[in-house]
Amino acid sequence: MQNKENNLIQLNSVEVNFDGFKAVNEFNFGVSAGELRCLIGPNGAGKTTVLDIICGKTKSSKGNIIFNGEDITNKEEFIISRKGVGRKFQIPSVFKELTVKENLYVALNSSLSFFNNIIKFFNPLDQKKIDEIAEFVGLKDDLDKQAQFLSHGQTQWLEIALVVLKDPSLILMDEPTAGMTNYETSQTVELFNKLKESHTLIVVEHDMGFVKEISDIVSVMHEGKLLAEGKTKEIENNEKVKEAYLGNKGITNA
Amino acid sequence: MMKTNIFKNIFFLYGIFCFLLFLLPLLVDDPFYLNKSSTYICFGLLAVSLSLSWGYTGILNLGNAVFFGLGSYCMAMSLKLKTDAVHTGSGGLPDFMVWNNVTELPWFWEPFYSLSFGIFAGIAVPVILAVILGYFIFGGRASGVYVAIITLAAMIVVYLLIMDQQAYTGGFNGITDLSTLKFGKLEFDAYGASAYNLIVSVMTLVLFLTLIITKSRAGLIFQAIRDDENRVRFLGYNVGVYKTASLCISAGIGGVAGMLYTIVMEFASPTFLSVPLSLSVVIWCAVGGRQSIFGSFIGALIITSGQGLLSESETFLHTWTLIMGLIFILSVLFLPKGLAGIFSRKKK
Repeated sequence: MQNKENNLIQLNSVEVNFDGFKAVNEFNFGVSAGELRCLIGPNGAGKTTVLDIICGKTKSSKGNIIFNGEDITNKEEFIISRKGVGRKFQIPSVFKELTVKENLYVALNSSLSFFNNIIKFFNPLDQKKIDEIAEFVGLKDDLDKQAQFLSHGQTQWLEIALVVLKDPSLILMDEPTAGMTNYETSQTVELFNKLKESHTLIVVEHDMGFVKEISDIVSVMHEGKLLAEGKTKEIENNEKVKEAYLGNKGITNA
Repeated sequence: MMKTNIFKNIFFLYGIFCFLLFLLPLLVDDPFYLNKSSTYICFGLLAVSLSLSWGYTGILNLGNAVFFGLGSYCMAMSLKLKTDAVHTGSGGLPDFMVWNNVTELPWFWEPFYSLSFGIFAGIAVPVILAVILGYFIFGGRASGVYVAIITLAAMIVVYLLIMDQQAYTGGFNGITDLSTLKFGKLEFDAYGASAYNLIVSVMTLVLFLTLIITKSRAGLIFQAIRDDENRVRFLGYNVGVYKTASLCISAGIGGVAGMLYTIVMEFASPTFLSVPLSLSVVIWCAVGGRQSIFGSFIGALIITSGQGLLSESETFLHTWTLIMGLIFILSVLFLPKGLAGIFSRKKK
């Protein structure tokens, strides 16, 4: 673990209590700016919950979360988002009845205030930005398609585009490759390596192949606690980690 | 590029539609039918109001008629104070107050001597109620069926208050014997072309204003909230503010519709904010297409005029409610997006 002060995001002994069940317990975790960190662990380890407490979806019962030097513990979602935390959900959540273009327009990083937006209409400058991001995630030919008619992989990319458009300094990704074909996954690897250049990312992922391709350092969670942290190679051979994944088959087969 | 063409077309179509409605008095000579048509348009505006909150923002407001009723009462209070002294008690006290042994005009009636205040209040009172409702409902993150229950309950509370405070509101009888609306020398006869033209003018204004709102970025964010509220929230928008704003605009339009309705009906009644009317609005929107402002408007026109015609004809005198029910069932089964769904282009 690096120096706590220099981390972009730092969780200090955070606890989440779901009616007596501690989904996250005494959890210490930090990611420094510019890093892509993968968060792995067996089912029910509390990975998604960790993302939830960072972005404000779930409230923590103990501990604090420091983002960019500021305490964001249990702040409202939109406030955390405005400070620069973007979140992609496990089940892709996009605006299904809107077109891809309209989806991107909603996320476009301009004013968030109602009174500005009620007098704001689509202009060619917005089109340019939308074209750029659509190109980036490979949805350029589907701009006028309704989001509900996209393939699963495309929906995932659309949501990634929504998050990236806000240009958050920290992006939280929950299983971005779930349900993707091999080809789509390899495309996503490319996308993430591009994102890595200018953003800090925390990625929850099951696919170890994908993890190895994108990440240098991996954090392993087990039963709400941090079990191990280190280079992908070390983690794969870590006895405690093997134990946690049961049957000693190792995480590659998990 | 495609988008801008459709955009222009919609404005054009709205223009033509409004223009055609202005021509109706030339075709319909019968004051009764002209008056009826005016009421249908008021209901159309009420449907527009619900379409904005329900169809666009996903707030199923079952108490939508409360805005309509409040608007209607504000207008009625102003018009009541304008009636000739013959119909009133000493010092221009409204007749029902005299019957209820009220000796002095209550303080909250005083400002309604001014018609401008009445019109202002007809919009402001519903909007203020919407702000309060929005604060509690969306601040407390209520959603789905809970919103429907809370809004319905809120309307019933206002309804019961009006029924209960007979001395100040006319209670069950409502506020009757109103003066006709006069602006200086302009008089709007409820059964003449003047009131009809006033209503179509206001309708034109409201339709275009609503169209602009739905085409604005905020209008798009409303729809995004309807589709996935959380996604919008995690993009940094304060969803509560947007939902409250949508409810407020809806309330304002409902208030305007209620005021116009009082002008043509020449009375205000607690039935204007009753459960049956409020639920009817939901049906109009469902039949016309709640996700389309224009569709909802047309839905209301078709259903209410259909109701009018059927209930007047001898053949359907006893069965018209059944026919209306059948239309609703058929539209829900076969036209999930309402009549507007037939015309909307599929964006596949």
